[in-house]
Amino acid sequence: MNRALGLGGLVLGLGGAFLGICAVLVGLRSGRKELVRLSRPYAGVVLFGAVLSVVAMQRGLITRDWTLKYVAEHGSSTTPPLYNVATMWSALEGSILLWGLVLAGYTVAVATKFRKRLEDPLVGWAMVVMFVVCVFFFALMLTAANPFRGNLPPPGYDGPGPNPLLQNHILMAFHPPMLYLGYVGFTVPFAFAIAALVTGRVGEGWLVETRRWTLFAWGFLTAGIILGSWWSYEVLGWGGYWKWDPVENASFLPWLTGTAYLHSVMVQERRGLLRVWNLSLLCATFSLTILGTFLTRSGVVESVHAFSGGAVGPILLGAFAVVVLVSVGLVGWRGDQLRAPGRIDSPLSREGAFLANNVLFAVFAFVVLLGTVFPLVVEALNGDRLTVGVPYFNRMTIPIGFALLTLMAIAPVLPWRKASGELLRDRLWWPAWAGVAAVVLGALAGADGVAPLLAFGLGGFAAGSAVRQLVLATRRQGVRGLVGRANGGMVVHLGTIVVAVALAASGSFIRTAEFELRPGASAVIAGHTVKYLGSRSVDRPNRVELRARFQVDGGKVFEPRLNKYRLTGQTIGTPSVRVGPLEDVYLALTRAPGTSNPAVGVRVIVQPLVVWLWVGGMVMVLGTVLSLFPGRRRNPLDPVSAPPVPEAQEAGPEPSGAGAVTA
Amino acid sequence: MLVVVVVVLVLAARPAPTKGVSDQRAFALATQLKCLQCVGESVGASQAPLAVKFRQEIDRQLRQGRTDDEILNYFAQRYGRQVLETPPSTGVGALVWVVPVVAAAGAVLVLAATFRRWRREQQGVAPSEEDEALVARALADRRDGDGAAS
Amino acid sequence: MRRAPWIAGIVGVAVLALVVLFATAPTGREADTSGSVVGRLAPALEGTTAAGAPVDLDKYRGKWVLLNFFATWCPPCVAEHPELVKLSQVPGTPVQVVSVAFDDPADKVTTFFAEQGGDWPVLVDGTETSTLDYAVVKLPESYLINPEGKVSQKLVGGITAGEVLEIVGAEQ
Repeated sequence: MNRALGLGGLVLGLGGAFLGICAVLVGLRSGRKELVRLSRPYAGVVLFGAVLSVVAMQRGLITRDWTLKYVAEHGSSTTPPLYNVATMWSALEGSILLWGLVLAGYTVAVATKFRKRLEDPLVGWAMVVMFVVCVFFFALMLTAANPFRGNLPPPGYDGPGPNPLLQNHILMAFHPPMLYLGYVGFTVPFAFAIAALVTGRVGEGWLVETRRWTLFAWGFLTAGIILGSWWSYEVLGWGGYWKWDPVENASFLPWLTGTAYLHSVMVQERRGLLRVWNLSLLCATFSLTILGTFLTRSGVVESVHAFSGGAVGPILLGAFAVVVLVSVGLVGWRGDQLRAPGRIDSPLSREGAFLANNVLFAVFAFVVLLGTVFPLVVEALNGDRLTVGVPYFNRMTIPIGFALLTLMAIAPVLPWRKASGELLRDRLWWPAWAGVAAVVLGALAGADGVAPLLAFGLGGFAAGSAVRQLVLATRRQGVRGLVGRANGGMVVHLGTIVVAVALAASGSFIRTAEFELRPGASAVIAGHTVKYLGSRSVDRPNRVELRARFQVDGGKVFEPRLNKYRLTGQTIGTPSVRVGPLEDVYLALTRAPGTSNPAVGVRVIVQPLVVWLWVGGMVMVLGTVLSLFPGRRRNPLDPVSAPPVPEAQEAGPEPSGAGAVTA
Repeated sequence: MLVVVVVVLVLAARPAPTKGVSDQRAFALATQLKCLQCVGESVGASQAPLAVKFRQEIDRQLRQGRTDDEILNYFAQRYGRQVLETPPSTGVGALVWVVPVVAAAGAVLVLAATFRRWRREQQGVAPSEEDEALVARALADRRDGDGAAS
Repeated sequence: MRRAPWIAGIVGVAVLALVVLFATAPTGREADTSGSVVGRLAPALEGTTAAGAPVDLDKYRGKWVLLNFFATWCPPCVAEHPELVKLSQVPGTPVQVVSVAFDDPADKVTTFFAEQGGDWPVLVDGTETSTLDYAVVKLPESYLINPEGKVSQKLVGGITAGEVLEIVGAEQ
């Protein structure tokens, strides 16, 4: 029943998307507008199919329908309800299903948003691209990654449940959907970029149409990445939140190119420059999401959360190659039309700064991509096995981070066209003092080492600039000075700075120690006393929890756990953290007390400012929401070459988007 | 106000007193080694039996007064190059360090050359007084005298 | 921008190279990860059994030795055990089995052998560094040492008696 329903949904989605392509293409070619307008109902069909499949999958998971292979392999009768829902995205096939649902949702959203001008070739072609991507993913689900494969369960069968790591923290229910809303969201600007290339309307019109979509996707991707690192911190038990794992890199790469695009797009909107570059960035962002999915889902590179996926790898690889080659071919084909109408007058200008920003982000993305695939390259070249790990990424990306912070301090105050040294000195006076103050305070507080102090100084400097811009804007426009892209962007900058400072502090001043403590014994680390009170065992349907009780600094008691899963026999720890505004005390059990040795093994990590990573991430998302609201009205002098009705598209923010981001 | 936040953040970043220097050193070394029994984790992060053994060995050798390099070499000799998280700085492996730097330098050079060319080409066409008056009038129409907003 | 087609071409070639790279990359990393001891003189191994008797690997020079790293808490090792028993009981076997317990207390090892059978030297103590010397990664792992004392092969995962005898037969 669930299987038939799910497969039916997939076929419906595939058919709807395929017919949508045909209808729009035929309609565009023959000029029959009623055919082109069919894209909206067909998008609805795709979404309906996707929802049907997801409902079937969830129903299968909830009713423990072991005749579904996916449920039999990843579900279990003892999984708690919330994680049972999340089981859908805890393995390959189900996560592709989630991808399909989000993609169908975006397709309908585009069709609805542009319902009045569906027959416009630009929108029509964008719909075609969306449908093509839909066809790809639904076909993938009907072939190599079919979530509805059948199964003949023996009587009394019970599944193993999802990977214990994935049913250990509530964030697992939210982080993947957020990430996918971000990942998949980049399909929309990509579709419009391809549409612009195909129709030859490569002016600024399509940029204006898609800028909110891009911001929306970017906001979710940011939230997804931050939630992912929060999950790592809360679950993995070593006090870290980012380890340059291929899966993390796969989500970070599109974020980097997407961020570069959000900046350089302003140069094109304002000056009409960097057209090829912007198109390339969008195509790169989309193809990197596909490449990332390939890297992590094919087993080519090893990673904690890699799912091995059989034939899915080659298919995704092929899709990646097709996307890149089509994009590159189209850009090459339209090369002469993409000629910039002007040039940048001076490197010391807003557009010059954006250009520098883009070089930095491009290099950043290149470093991350190279580091991720390099072991494969070397093995292919001479068979050597080597590892490109955290030290490499840190050493390469920290200087880029410093350069970006510097740019973040200078660029917001730069005028377009050209700046003079005098003006710069005038505008950077207070921000620079803020930076100096940050260094002095950091040093007074006892921070040592060049790198963290430099990070604090540049962070203060950049925060000064952002605050200056916000103060000026609110003085001029009141509360409206906080909304709109430029001002919301400054809020995002502030969030980024908070994250950067927190990264520098927590990375530089981390203290780790491991202890074996008998009941009643205490250990001292970094000025904190950790006293072991005793432990007890708690039975749960799916696992046995060993809860050890620790008193930190004579105050509150914390209970890190070791969970032994009944079915797989795996033992997974759940750390317990005393979160503080200044520093976290992190407790993770390393060994259970036994009969012969009653001591418990515990790892204690004291790390400053970790909580500010999550706060900064929230500020970034808040800033993105602010940016989604319309800012000041577009200046009539700005070059906008959108042919039909650009003003109509400036209407209101997307309420669903704003609500979902803050939720 | 947000400057204050940053300042507070920085204030908090004082280094906590260490328990023992060698303890920090041991963990620093452990994060330089890859846990071969796990996926994508360093020896410092993992609780896998082999990682625990590695850490015990690091402790033992630190107590014997060995240097960081000696200890890392000890593991690399036995487990091969891949046990080190840092890619080598010689041979083919060095490309991972060199290529990004060369690419970045190349990008900057190309940009610099482009700007120089643009400036050279621009010197020929100076704006006339009429052009400048036009621009000045247009700028006056805009409320944005600061250039702060896009 | 006249350079657009050029850039497009370069990017295209780069991507093609990347795709070829991935397409030809071996998936799965089950193969021997280092093999650095293979073909070299077997690292020294001295220790004591659960009963406290000293064992020295050099004593077996002149014989084939199957050096087996295992743990009683490792399910594949438990699954492999009957094969080791079989190998040690082949009449006139040319192979001496020597086991090294990984991270396992002596009492557990003793109980395990009492229950599962098997009678050969099992080192439980004094072997801290030998695991590292042999570059053991995943249990069980076995090293076949020839009569000259050189490591002739590294066998990752559970062995079978037939497989070991075949290798020894081929090399003799």
